Amino acid sequence: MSELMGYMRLNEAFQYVDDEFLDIVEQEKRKKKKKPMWRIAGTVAACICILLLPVGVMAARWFGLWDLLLQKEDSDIAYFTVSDFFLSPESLALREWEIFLAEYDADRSIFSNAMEEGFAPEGREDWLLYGVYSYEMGEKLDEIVKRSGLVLNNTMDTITFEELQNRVGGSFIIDADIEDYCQVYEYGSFIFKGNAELDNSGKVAFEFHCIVKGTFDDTLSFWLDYKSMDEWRYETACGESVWLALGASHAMILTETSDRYLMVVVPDGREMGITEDSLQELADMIDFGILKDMQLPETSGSTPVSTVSIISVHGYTDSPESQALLEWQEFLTQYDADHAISNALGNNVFVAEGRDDWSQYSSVYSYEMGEKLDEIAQKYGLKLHTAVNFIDSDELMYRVGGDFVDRESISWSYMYEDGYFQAEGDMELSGCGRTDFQFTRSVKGTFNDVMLNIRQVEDYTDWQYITACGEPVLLALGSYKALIFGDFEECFISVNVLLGSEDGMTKEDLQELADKIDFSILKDVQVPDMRGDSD
Amino acid sequence: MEDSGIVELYFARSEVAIQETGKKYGAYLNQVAYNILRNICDTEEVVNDTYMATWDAIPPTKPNNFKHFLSRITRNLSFNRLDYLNAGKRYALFVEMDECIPDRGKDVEDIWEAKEIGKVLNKFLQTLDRKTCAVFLARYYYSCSISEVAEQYALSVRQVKYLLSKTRSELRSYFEREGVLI
Repeated sequence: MSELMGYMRLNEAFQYVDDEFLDIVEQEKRKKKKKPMWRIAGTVAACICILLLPVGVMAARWFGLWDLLLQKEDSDIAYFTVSDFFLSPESLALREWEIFLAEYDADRSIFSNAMEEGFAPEGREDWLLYGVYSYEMGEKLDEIVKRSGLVLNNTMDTITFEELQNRVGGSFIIDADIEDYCQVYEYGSFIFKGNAELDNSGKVAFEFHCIVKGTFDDTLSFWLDYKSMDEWRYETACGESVWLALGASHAMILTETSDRYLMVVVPDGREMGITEDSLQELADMIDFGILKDMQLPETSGSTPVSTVSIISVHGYTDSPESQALLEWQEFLTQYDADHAISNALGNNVFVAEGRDDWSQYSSVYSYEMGEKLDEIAQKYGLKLHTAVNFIDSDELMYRVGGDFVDRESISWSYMYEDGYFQAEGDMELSGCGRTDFQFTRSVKGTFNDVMLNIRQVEDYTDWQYITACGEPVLLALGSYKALIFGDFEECFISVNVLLGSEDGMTKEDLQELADKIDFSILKDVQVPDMRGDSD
Repeated sequence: MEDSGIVELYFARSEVAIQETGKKYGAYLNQVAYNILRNICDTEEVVNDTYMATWDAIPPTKPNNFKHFLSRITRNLSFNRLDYLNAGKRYALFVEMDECIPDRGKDVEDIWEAKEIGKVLNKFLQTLDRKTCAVFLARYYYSCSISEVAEQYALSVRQVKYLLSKTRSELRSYFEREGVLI
């Protein structure tokens, strides 16, 4: 009882918490929600051919998916988490491959035949590294790898752990038993296995993976259910920042550099007694600093890089909005390359007194960055956002001036002061059932830093279409995603549909979805009534 | 309606003030009360009591921040109701905070003392980064569950537990340094 009363004293004291702190509770929530759902922060450089097909009488001009493309130069991901890894092209390709393997040759007859007769595809020894035992499998592997913008490893050596440490440049793991032999691939990827005695969990087995970005690596051999894992950032004993993830049956330690992922996979999780502390203890045993500094081996070809297609959702590549975005991304590429500034910030949020506009952009975390943002915006004659509200579908319809889509189909949205909004929802399509989508209306004249990863632009078929409301749009159907774009005088609209042809979506389905959106309401932007968040 | 307009209505003794308060902050106050009481009927009663208490308090009080003024009333009434409903029971929230300031066993409802502790608490909150401050208050002012806090701030449950545990420990040390009697 006395403990209860102790809390009561403090609970009373909470009644006197200053307003400024209660404001922070709300403000920090908004920051979290403000992050774009499809944020792919990274390195972007200018590019691309412009194929403009003017259409005389229409308010908007025709354009193609290529006109939106921003070229990704390498795979540096500034805000990298475990979840980001599982959305990386390397990981998505592995997922696709594993799904294929799960269904292929279920009765093992092709495998038995290959064992009897042998399978030696001429000039394709690389397939054999991936356990391919038929041409059909090899062609599927090629297809996945090509679509993902990756390359296959061609050769693999087996070396001792001592030799690996020599190549890496020093001893990088302590107090662990490492198996004698390590697999090393020509681009610099390697894998080895070991055991470590941990205080809280006893002897724990682990696999260490160094995966060179841009290469297809199937040594992970499973697709983790990362969504159910708890993940947190941790600074190891050697001072390196890593992400730890702990689930019921697996645990991971993960970090990255611009050209490689470094990953420790523990094939046990909470159910087998792995705890947060033991995972941190394991992370403390590894010197990730040495591994990050390691030089990749010279190869006959250039080091592979992922070639993910990133598109602007704010206009053509030659629009001021997209040009500004490109320049901003170029700046981000060079700025804080060693992450020293962001690491020093840790979990704190950068706040510049009197510059609420900077805080609308999650990629700004220093005064220097904010000043660069100002410079770029000024150069391209753009404004910065100054305020955001999180609103429900009724409020969204009110602020845009009408029901542009069935209001029941919008699950959440947020809107900036100029009428820019993002919304997420789903709707029923006759051909493919409930279909999730993400909706963006970008108002021209304001800088936005959101981009969209569409994997490979070549994977899409695009065509122009007049919707039921009489407005012209561009539709694009890919294997795993479909897109709708509308370019209007005052705004640029994009709809990211989370189904593709592999999921059964057809051109007709996409046209049906486009017909359910009234672009005529959205194209004329009215200044929104920023009357606060919806309850 | 702007907060200042609503407050003026209270000063004018117009009952429209209560309607406008409910319209603007009803859902928010319901959430504050529900987080503590976890019962819809009790929540409704407490929110209605909040309107009455606000009617009684304004005038003469002229709140600087009307929203937080309301939330303090709702929170206070909710805990009072919780005491009444569950006298003597222990709650997760109470247990977590015991480590910061165990009871001396007397004078526990002394308002002056609560204010003094409140001042130290505010100084402590000043030392926290914004996210930690938000998480801490979401849990201990707004009484959100740990999973709710995790959802609101895009953190894992593990991260929230860690942040809260670390902050409670820091608060305990801070109280000791500042001479808050334990």
